Amino acid sequence: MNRINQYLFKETSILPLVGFRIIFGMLMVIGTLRFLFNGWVHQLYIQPKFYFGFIEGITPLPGNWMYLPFIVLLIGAIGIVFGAFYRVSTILAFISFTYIEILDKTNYLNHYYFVSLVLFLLCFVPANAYLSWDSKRNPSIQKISVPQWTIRILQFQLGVVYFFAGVAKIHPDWLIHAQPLAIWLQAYRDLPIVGDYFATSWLAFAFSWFGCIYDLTIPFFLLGNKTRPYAYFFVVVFHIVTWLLFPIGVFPWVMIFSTLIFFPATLHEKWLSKVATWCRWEKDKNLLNSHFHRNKLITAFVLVYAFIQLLLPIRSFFNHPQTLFWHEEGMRFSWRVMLMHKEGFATFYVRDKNSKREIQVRNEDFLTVGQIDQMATQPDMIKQYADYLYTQFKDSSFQTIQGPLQIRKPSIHAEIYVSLNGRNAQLFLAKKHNLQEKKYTFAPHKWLEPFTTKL
Amino acid sequence: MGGMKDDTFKKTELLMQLTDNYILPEYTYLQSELTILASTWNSFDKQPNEIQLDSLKAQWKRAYIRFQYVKMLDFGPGMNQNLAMSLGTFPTDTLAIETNIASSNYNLSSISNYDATGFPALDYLLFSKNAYSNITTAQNRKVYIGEIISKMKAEIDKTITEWSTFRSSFVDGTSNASTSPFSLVVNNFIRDYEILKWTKLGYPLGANTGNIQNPALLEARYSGIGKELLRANIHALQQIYLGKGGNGKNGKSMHDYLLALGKTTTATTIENNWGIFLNQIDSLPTSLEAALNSDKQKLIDLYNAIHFNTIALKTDMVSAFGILITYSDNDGD
Repeated sequence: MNRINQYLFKETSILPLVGFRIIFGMLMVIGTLRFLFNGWVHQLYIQPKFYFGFIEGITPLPGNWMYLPFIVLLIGAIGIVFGAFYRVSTILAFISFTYIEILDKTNYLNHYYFVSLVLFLLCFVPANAYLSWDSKRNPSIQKISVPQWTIRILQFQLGVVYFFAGVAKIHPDWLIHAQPLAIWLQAYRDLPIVGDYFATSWLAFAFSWFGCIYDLTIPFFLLGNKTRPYAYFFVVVFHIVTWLLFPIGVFPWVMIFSTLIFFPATLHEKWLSKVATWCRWEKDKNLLNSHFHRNKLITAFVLVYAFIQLLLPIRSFFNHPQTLFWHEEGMRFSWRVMLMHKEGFATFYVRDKNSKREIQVRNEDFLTVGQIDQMATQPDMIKQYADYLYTQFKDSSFQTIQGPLQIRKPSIHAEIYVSLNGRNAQLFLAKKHNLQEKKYTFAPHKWLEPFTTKL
Repeated sequence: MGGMKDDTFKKTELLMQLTDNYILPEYTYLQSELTILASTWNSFDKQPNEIQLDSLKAQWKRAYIRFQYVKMLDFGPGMNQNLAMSLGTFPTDTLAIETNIASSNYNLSSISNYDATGFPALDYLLFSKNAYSNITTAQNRKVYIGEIISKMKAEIDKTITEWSTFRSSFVDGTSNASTSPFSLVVNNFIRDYEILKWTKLGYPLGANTGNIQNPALLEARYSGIGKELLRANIHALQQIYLGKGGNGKNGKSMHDYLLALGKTTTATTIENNWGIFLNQIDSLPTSLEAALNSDKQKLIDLYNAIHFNTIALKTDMVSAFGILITYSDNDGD
């Protein structure tokens, strides 16, 4: 314990943390503006009739009020860049961002989860103690050093993302069949000159193996002083290639810039001093290095946080591979990125016991195209949609040419076919189950069909 | 199940085949059918008689069938003109049509009038009971019909003009971004397939109303040509899938792409199913309404077969191509 404390509270330069604050804040500003200007707020959070919420009761604000959390996020992000009202800004950014992300599972992306975690951590670290509006207003908060945990915890978080993304790639589909990369890369077969290589499977194999080794090792190479410059070269190349090939938005830039936190203060000094001159921010000349007192509360916080961040991805290793890929148990919050190409076709049926009538649901009447696509392959969303259909059809009645059709107690059924990583589609959920009666729990889902298709 | 892969297959060849030998010729066919429709109408307008009305009806039918070949091209210029909806929304709203005619105060281009214009509106205006006397005794009605026809003609003209500049960017758009031309082609192809399933068969059969059928939802109910339209729509999708040109020139297709990816089973399943559907349609009674009344099981079988084939199209084919089923640009991870 003593050695842990020694490690966590060792004094180190604040500069990498300040650099991280400015860069990450700017990426948040750009990302939020991009979201707003692409019209995604309306498309994803105003238009849909139904939302696949993570937590029951947490739903979007009505209509155009949904712009509010985005405005709050933007203000918070700007506050982070300038280190202005830092504590309030980080908390606002964290809460608004996380609120938006838990509204609909349809939009879950691992890198949004990453952003949420980083914003959470930023609430606790004194990244505004240098080169900031707060420290200009109140020079007494200025510091040139921080306890090491404030930087290590962010490095740890980045390392976890890479490492577990790498571990997840140790999988037959990825390494032996080069899937789903083979599917995605062949799509570039029309590129001039290199197109033919993209169509061949050996390039997919090369990408798959390189990606796996890269993810597993890059955090360690970034930690080593000698290897760091080379490692960073690979970070830049790797993420620019993924940015060019896949529709993953700002994520590559988040990683390229976030990993700068692995670099020592000497590198950050160079660009931060220019920023300081430019902003006419002046360092307090009398500032001394400070000695940091150990704080049990902080030690506990750091250890618990790290433990949870290790536990969440590790939980999925105990799942049967079938449960993981086919049933998607343990897929979320465990850095399983780009591992699956799944397409599903889901047909829902509402049966009425009284009239003995069956209604085939047109999903487009209730969900957006994006929601249909995500729901069709993810069991918890299938169950949520079935429950929603139940509320829509229970005690309903609608006109037919034979008079009104009354539905008292409907049962909800679905027939779903799914294809995974280039395999032909197979039955995923049979029509016989009454989904209304099924419970979604952490136990294996017996109501889903076993995975039998070979690659 | 895996066939020999062909890494040299290029999607741009598929897009060029589709554009030059299918899209452009088919739009031109529809344009010429609508031009003839307009002139037939003019002759009728000047000198109304029953014989002229019959040739007008016959020409309307030819044009409507031709329209089935382009309604799935709902991207680029076709989408800008919203051809699929403005020419083909059914069931037509007869009340809105009568209200428009009575008031003479309407804007046919407004979205609220989509179901009061296009081919389905003409189905009602030309084929409903006492159509001839209704048309010839009311000047308003004649004006309305004339305006519908010239609007349709104007929209296809604009579409063709736009395509002349749109073509070059289109045939090079082979990326898998959800807004790239190749994705647009495949997504709209599948969307049209699903729309066809619901609107031409599912709704009239009562698939979503507890199987309580409703013939009022049939396409072209007044003329009774819904069966020919259904056949043409399936045939059009078959031609596109197999890379057959409307001008007789064949070339690279989605089918070839599946074969190049080694997806022989999927490719032949889809290929065979088009033929099966066409046979099923041919074995139906003379009209869909007659089938609904006397041979419903055949229609249900057809509906189920089309429904089941969606799996091959929407999951097997789409996942082999590696495109995203979405109509907007979004991030993934």
